[in-house]
Amino acid sequence: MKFVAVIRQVPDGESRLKIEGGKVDLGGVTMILDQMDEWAVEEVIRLQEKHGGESVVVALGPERFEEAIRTALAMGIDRAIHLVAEGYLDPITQAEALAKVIRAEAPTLVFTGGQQADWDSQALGPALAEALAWPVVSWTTQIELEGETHAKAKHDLDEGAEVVRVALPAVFTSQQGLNEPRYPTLPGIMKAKRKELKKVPVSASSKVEILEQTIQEKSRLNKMIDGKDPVAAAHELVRLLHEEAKVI
Amino acid sequence: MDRLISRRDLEFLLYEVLDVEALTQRERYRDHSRETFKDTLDVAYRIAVEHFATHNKKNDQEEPWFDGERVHTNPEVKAALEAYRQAGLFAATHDYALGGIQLPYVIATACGALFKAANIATASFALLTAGNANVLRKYGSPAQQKKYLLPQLEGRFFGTMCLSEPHAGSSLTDLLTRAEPQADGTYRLNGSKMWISGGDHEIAENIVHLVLAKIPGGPPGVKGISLFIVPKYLVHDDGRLGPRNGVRVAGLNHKMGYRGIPNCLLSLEDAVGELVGAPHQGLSYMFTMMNEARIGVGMGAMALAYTGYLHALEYAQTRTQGRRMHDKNPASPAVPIIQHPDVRRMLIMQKAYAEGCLHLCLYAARLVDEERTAPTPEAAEQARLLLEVLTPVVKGWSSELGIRANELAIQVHGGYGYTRDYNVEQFYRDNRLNAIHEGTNGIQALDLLARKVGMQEGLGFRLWAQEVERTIQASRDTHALRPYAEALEQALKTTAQVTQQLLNKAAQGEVERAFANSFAYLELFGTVTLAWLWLEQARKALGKEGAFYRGKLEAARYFFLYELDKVPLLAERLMRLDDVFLYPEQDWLTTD
Repeated sequence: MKFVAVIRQVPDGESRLKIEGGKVDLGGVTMILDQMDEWAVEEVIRLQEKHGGESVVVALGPERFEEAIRTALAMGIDRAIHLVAEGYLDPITQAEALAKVIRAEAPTLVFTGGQQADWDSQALGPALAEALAWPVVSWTTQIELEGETHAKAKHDLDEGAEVVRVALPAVFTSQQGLNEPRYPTLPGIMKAKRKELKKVPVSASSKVEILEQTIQEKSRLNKMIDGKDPVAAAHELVRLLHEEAKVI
Repeated sequence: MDRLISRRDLEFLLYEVLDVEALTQRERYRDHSRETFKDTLDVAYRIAVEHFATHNKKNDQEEPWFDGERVHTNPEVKAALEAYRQAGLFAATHDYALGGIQLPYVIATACGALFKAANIATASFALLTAGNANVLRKYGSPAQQKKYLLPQLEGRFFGTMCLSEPHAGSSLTDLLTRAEPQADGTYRLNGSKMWISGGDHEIAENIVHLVLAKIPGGPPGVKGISLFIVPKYLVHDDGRLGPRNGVRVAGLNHKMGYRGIPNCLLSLEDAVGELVGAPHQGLSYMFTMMNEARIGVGMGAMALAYTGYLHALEYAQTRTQGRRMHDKNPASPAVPIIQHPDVRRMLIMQKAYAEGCLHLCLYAARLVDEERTAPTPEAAEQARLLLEVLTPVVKGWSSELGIRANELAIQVHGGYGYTRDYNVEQFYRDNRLNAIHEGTNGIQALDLLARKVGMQEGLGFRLWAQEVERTIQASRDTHALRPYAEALEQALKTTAQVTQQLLNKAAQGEVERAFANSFAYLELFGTVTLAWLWLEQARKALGKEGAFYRGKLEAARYFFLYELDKVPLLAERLMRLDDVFLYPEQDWLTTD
């Protein structure tokens, strides 16, 4: 069996982004392996640990993506293919380029993030499935192989979940709850240096062009709750956190 | 924002200033690269943020407790150290054969700083274990290494250091713990050990105590001190754990800070111990651990200063209060307090202290790598000597400046900083210990003046002065840096004169008068050292674009204008050789 994780590198959510000349300036910004892709990497490693075979990470992006690839290798992925392309490529164009390489790899399945943090888009997984003409299961929270031909998976719906059976090969996208990713280990970091990392230059033209980027300015609401009645104040705080801030 | 230590600053110091990448040319580190350093720091950073920082406050509010039998800690402590263990951080600097990755000490120190900034109490379990393991690696027999070192490198056993006793803390010559030799080659230890951090807990499978004790009939004083391994649970030769050893918790100390790690009074009651190395050599062995521990304490003080600074900075950027001095319109919106000059003063002081001490600590850690891997024995010996001189400065001066920085972080927060709703008061309380433990700062000052600067006929001092001089010469021809280079040259000259005068006085027999003001000497030496390092940072920042480099240049300017100007006053105070602190036989320090 062969399990492929498709990953991307994105700015750390803790980083302060700034705009220079209408574009996001990534200078000085900490870049990380997209968290949802990290769940995909972890799941691929777990599938390999359970079923044997090989794990491969595939990434399409600029040279700096190599850092995220190294993270995946240090977590335990066997080898990597880096499709090197500088500049922005829309998800459909990326999926087409990725599909060529992935088809040649002939994997049992492909896992990728349910959403791409930097684009705020959920397109890559389904677009990749479309380009490969394989089925897709999105927002996967559980997966179980049934031999080499089928998998049973649970995936989230808006307010519920479905359990599905899907013919392999297929594309799966990750959702929170799928797993708790491991940290790369220090010996893993050293081993990653010696693992195969194949570079493939990609020349493709994006179908979508970014004209301008802006960053949403968030201002403080300065909402004060009257605390004379502590019980009522607590109720109001919970209501605001639930209904307005939507954090609980 | 996690507000631990700026990763950008770490990268600047490691790569642009200290050229740590050059270490990868050495045989021991040849498998490493800037990428492996970065990836290691990334892992450390994530574990620090996700597992250590998350329970720092809880650790402070819910202290470990003793039920009469065992000591309990918060479950998050164990979970954090398990993540640390699984990542392989316990063995990081050790040989591949021991499960390590031969990580340079300077990178491991940078990782340690992140954990300390996140949660200094939980980090202390790991760092004590690392120190303990280093002693056993150097002095333990192969059998002892198998039984006690390897499990520590795997993170299954934790380590402690047991030096002090209730009546003897700084003065180890007065230790009373006795170790009686037995027919089977082991010893039975009896006595009490005080201030033992991590002295008991249920986090690890076992605890390896390294205990200083005297074998009856040995030489008097410190020359009669030997070092023993005393495990909490006895360990069979095949590694299986045996019954509980005679090490009992007599009580916990309830501390001002560092509350997440239990601090114990241990009672040794016929405890089985194994002698480490030769009899009566214990103190020198233990100082292997102590010197590292002292760098670790300096690093901890710096880390708390650094995180306090980042907290204060963020608060000052977001807290609005008042208007600029020239704005007389009460209807205009309030400005973030970072716009007020006095707040900027407090922030830049913290920046100068925290980032300067980070440089100092990393510089010292880099010397450890030089000592271990320098291409020639002469270069290794020079690194060792320079490190000897700088160790009391790293420990003593970082912990003095660290606490000042934390005071300022509270002040920036105003009344809120004095409340437990904010983190900075905890940093201050935690940091207060760093001037005390692993040799008080009074002892560090004496160590620097009475031992280190004069050792090998002043060679250590000359090595330090050569390094300072090298930076002066490299800066002298740069227009923007020339005033700093000249000021530092003058300060260096003054320090050399003061040092000579004090050592001469001591050599003439007036030891107490020469060394009575050693704390002022530490301040002098520490200030000149930091000025040197700030000039070095300015040199590397000059001509580079961006606010980060501009910030470095401004902090250097602050340091030379507001800190280095203390040198003449300190020098005068020292040269005066006054007797204010002398004549203890006169009883005027009484209230009767």
